[in-house]
Amino acid sequence: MKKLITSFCFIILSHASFAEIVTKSNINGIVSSITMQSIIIGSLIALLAMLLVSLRKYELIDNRIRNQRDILYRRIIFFFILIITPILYFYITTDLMHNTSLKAYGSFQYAGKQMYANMILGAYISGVTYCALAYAASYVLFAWLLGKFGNRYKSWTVIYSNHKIFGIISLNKKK
Amino acid sequence: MSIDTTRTSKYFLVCAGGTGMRCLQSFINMCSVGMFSGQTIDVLLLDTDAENKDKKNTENLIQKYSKLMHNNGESKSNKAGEFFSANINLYTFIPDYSKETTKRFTLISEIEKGDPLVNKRLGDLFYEEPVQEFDLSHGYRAQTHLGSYLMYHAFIDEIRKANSNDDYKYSSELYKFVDRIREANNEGEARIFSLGSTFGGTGASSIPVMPIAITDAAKIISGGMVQMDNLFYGASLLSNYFTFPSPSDAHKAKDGIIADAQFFPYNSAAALMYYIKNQTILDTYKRFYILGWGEFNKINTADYKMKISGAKEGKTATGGKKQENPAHILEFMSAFAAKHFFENGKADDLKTISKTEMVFKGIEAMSKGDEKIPVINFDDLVASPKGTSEKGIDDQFKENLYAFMAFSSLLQERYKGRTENFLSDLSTYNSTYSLTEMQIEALDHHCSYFAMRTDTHDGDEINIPGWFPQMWHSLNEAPEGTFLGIDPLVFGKAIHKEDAKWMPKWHKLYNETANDNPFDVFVKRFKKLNGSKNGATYEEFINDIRKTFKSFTEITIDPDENKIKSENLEEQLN
Repeated sequence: MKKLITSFCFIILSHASFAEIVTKSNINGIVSSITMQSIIIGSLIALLAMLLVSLRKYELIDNRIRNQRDILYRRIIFFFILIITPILYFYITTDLMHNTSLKAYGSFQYAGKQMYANMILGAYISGVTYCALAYAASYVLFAWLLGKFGNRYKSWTVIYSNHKIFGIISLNKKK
Repeated sequence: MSIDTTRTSKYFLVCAGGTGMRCLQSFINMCSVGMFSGQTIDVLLLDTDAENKDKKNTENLIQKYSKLMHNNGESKSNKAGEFFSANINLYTFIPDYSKETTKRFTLISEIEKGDPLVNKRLGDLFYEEPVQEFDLSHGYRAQTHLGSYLMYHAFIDEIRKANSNDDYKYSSELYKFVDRIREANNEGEARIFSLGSTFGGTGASSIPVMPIAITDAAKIISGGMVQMDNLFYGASLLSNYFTFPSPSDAHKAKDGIIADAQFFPYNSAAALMYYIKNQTILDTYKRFYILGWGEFNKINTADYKMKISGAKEGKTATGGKKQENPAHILEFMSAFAAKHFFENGKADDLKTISKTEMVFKGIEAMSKGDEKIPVINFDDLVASPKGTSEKGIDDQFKENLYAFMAFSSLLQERYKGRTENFLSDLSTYNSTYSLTEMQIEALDHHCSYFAMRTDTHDGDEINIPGWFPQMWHSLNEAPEGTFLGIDPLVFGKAIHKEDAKWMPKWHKLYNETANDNPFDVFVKRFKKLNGSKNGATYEEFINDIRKTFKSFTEITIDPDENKIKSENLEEQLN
């Protein structure tokens, strides 16, 4: 667990270990790397979310007493992370990592050139969507894989329960 | 699901009287947990007391069992297979002693016809007057000399009636049962095993005459044309193992003849003397399994009822609607005796037995003060032949029994016995099984019966221990590990005041579930082993349940270790 958290922090903050001055020749590469970074972060957070939802124990309880709540709690965790991740990503990348005195977004120094600043900001703003999409897509993919090949189903119950998507939408055609 | 009940089995079980009914319940439970997998057993239920609660419970149990049985079992004698994979065909025969013309010996024997004086003198030669005159509707009331005569008579009379009247034939279950035996004889082998007590009424009366009655009945059906050389008879002889308060003087005065538990040891001793000396019996029975309770404490059925319900029974119940005793390990051993008889030795070997073989075995005992406590292990019930490389039948049976107890208790603990609600929870986790309403209802009943059920007593809901925990109660709440190495908590022993009384704690059966959240552990393992399913069948359901519980590591408490620990503790305290 400790190793996992350390690696996670290291990957997320690795870009800060070197500074890069934005030029005409590397701006496209930087935009791509920001996009990739947002996708990777989304995927890593999906793994973290899977870990969190798996901590919630399965419940067997008579529905005359109350309904099962474990899947509900797992879904709350999943959607909470789905909402909070883009918000945090946006806040961290565009506000916390924005150093106005160094004129840099994280390690990318745009050296007062507003056009580059806008492009980097645009990349980070698009990254919010990529991060959220990557989170959702990775979660579905990893949870399915874990169920299919790892025989662990807790994460998958968030997406699919009672043979319905989110326990609501049935894929079986009604006769 | 349809079951092929036309299949001819070679195994026939005759269960007579109250003890026979309870032995049959044990037999059914043995089949529920996977014994006789893939085999068919024809069962004749024989009683004289139509109102007997034990009989009604047994019939009800078989009725439910028949809705749960299936043909998926692998037919191997040394294998504990799927739950409910043995096929049981039930036949009932109750001589009707409720009619005005049949309710007393004197009426059945038509003493008043012909020369009544001569008839009476003849009757008096064999039976005392109260014996000739008591009401037979509550059974033979431990009057076996009369009972054997009447039972044989009832058997032959029924077959003769059926043989001469086609309509009667189709309705006579005894005729069908004997006809199956006749068919099996023609096919080469029929093993007939009788279950009943030696100390009571109907069972003790029926066992001595059963081989002659069945063979003669089969001869009547075949018109005496076929030799009945392939009929092999065995029986368990149960001596007294429970007691109940002696009937009051008023009760005795009212009923005249009534079973009294204080005479059971003498009845048993007299019966055993008879069984080992009577030449007809020695010639007809191939094997006897002699089961007794020796110096061990005998359960008092009235005390037990009071302990469970908290109410005191006013009158001794020796029959009728109130005769419902707790299950006992000896009854379970009787059921295993039947298994041993059915599956051991070839027909040719049985033919060579010219005089009844007596089979018995000793069980381990522990001393606790002046009291002797039996130590029951799985290999006391069933043992594998030596030298087999596979997992022993005792270990397989243990796995199955643990699994069934765990499942039944889980249903009680979590769902008040409602399988439907359990299925609904599993369905949430994408494991959906399609069980019919009938199967669900039968499973609810069987699991409640097995582990625990609730009942209303004086307006309060109370937990009544099921069949399996009842055996632990019958051993006077066997101390830790002495009953199959199982923790008493599993049988509902409460350790905290707030614990529900007699609620079985199934999670104490397995290492994995003993300390962690047992429901989470169970579902995790269930999903891991069985994956997701949509619309899976009932057979898959019970197989998946069994597979899941079987995958856990069973906890077995060693009574000796436990004893050493408690001795050390006492020493430290001193």
